[in-house]
Amino acid sequence: MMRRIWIASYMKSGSTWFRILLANLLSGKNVPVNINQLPAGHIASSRADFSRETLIDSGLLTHDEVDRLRPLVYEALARTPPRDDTVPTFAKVHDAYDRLPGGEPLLAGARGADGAVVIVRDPRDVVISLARHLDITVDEAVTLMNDDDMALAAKTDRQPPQLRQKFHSWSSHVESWLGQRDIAVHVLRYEDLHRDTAATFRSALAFCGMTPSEAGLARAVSLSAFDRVKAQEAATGFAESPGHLTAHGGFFHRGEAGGWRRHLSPGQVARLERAHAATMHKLGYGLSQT
Amino acid sequence: MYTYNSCGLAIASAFALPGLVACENASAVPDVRIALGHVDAQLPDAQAQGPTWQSAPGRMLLSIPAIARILIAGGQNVTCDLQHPDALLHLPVFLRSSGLGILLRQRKSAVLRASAVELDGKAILFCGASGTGKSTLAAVLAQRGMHVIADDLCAVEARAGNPVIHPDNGRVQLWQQAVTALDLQAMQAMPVRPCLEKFHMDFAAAPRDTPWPLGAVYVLRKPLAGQTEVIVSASSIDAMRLLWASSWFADADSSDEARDFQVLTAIARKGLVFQLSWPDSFDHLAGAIATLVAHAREHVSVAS
Repeated sequence: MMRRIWIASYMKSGSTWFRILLANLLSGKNVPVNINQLPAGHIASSRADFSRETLIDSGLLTHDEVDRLRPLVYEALARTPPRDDTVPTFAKVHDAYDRLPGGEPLLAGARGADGAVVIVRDPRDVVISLARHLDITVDEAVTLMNDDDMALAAKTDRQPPQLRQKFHSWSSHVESWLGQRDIAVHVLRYEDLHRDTAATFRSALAFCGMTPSEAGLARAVSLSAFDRVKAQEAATGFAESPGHLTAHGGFFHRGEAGGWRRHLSPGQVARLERAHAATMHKLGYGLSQT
Repeated sequence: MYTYNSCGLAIASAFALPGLVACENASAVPDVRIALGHVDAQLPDAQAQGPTWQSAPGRMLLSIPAIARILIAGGQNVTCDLQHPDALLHLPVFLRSSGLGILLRQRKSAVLRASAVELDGKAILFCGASGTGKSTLAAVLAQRGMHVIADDLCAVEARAGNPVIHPDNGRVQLWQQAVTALDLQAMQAMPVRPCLEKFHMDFAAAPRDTPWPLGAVYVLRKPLAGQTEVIVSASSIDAMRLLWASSWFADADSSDEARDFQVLTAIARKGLVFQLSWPDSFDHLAGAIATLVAHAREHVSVAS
């Protein structure tokens, strides 16, 4: 069994759903877990983790100074004994698999984790969800996904809630994870999780060295159904949601695959397909335009 | 020599600490001396270490990369080995946060990460994760005439079961975005480091070396969907959890957990802890501030 595993993805690709599935599997209970207390709630860009490990307030460092310390933080976290040594420790990460100027992996390579479940989603669906999440137009979201300098929490006139995360373009992000050879990778397509949740989830768990019972798996899938999660958000809110989504349908909005066919203009589709054709083809996302 | 009083400690420093308000009536015998000197890169008898620190009994070596190595010993002696020609422009803000926190832990103090203002002779604390708006809230209240008595750290002790606070007497640190939004550009404040758009704002009242009785602790959190209350009283159990999460390095330093627990329990049992839903946009501050000030005044007067 792996000890520490990244749940890696570009934003809005299904990592929260995967974490809810994990949480419901590991809880062993017949009621849904509280989505505001997900056990795999740690994210690599957590300021709290950084400051706890370094004893330095991240808000007193520049983004680049923080980056130079981040590999050491992940090494330290990986050395921390887990609360439960019968299951891996999962941590979410949205950063691309980058290297520092000296060549060292930002995420500390094999010293930071044993492997990564890399969740991918058709970029034409990602862009719709990204526009909602960031409260920007779809055209602006397309521009972001095509921008190789794209980074979040990168402003310098304030302290963003998380450490800076360099995404790069959508395809650069995906290729950075698939192309690195430091740690093992299991690619999980959001569309497959949507189509056959149990089988796709089981396959990812097998990569992690986990073999749940069929009953436990079925229960986790049922408790993590989109409608149930959405209902829970409506009742209690979701702390990880941007504030503007609260009054506009919530974080868990549609949860569908292929919605881009109804929502994107031909021009928007073309811009995405031109920029990411090779990676889309590699992942089995057929192009609508040749 | 530069002299300060912070978190109940008389500090004598060989160089200026612009984040703290200078203390003119300095104690003849300081509790803490900060000096420049050589510090080895390794603590030979280190028993624990992290990415930037090593600890041995009674000593902590903290390395601020490319700025300084800081050796803090016995809760009273701080030696700084500068690692860059301009290090003194960068180092003080780290001494004020990490350095002071380590000193207080070595002196067996319970420490909360909090800003604080004075209201009717009592300390009102604002806790929360880094970036939740503690300093901004203190600045907004200062604009409404309250005295800021802490911006980053508060040492806490229980005297005869009553919690009292030793605030850091520090200047409020505000990012440029907040300076602009609160229309404070005229202050022409100094940056906390030359490379950061974060500034020392001079709201702080004259430093005081005696503790303040605790009036209330507000723990800032993001508003959740469907939530209408701005302020919610925390039950004793929730209050303990919130205070523990706001403690300075409670996780990294578990040697004094029992003592911390006693001090924090004194606060929790008094019913002094509240959760404050704090807007993440400057557009919605006015309503939250009005509710907060009314609540704090009512609560402090009842508690008196």
